[in-house]
Amino acid sequence: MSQSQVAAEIDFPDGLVGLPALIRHRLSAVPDTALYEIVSNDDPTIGFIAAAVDNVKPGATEVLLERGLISEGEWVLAILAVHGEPPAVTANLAGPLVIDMEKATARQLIIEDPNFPLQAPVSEAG
Amino acid sequence: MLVLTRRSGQSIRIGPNVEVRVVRIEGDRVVLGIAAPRHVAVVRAELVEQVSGEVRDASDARARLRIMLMPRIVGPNSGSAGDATDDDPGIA
Repeated sequence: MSQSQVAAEIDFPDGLVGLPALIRHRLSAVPDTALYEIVSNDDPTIGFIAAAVDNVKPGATEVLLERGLISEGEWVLAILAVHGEPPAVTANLAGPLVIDMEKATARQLIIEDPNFPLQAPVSEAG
Repeated sequence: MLVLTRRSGQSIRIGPNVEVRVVRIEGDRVVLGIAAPRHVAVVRAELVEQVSGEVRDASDARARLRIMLMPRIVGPNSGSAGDATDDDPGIA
C-alpha cells in the first residue's frame, strides 16, 4: 500500500498531545492531493489534515532517524493548520505524528529544535 | 513536588539514566544541561502547551483547510495533484 492510497485504523496508545483520551483514529488520503486526513474515532469532531513531513521540510525524516526519534519505515506526518490574515497554511513540525503502519500504531513527538517550528510555512506548488 | 537546592556545577540524578546539571546561573535564568537516553523526550514544558494548542487549532481549522484545498481538488490543476507517488508525494 502506498502512502497516497492509505486508509487505515490507527491507534495512538498515548493519545495526542493535549488530547490523551483520543486513542483510535482513522487515517485516509485526501482525494486528489498528497495530503492525509486523520479523524478521531473516539471523538469524530476532532480531526486533522496532515502532510508528509519531508514535503514540508525536505530531509526531516532523515534527521529524526539520525536522532533516534523514529525507526526505519515509520511515516512522519505534520499536522496542518491555518494562521494569519490573509490565511496561510502552516505545518506543525514541533509535534509531528509518527506512524507505524505495520503495527497500526502511532505517537506524537515533541521536538525541541528551532529547525522544527510549531508553525512552519507551507509553500504549495500549484 | 520535591524541591532541591543546587549550586552551579552541581547536578541531580533522575532514575538510573537521567542527569540534570546546573551549568550556570545568569541573573534570573538558570542554564541546565540534561543527559538522558535518546528515547527520553526532553522539552520545555511550555512547548508541550504550545503543541497542544496547535493540535486543537489544527482540528478547528480542518474544515477551513478543506475549503482552501477545494480549488486544487476540483480545479483545472487537480490532475497533477493526484499524481503523487511514494517517491514524491508532494504537498500537492
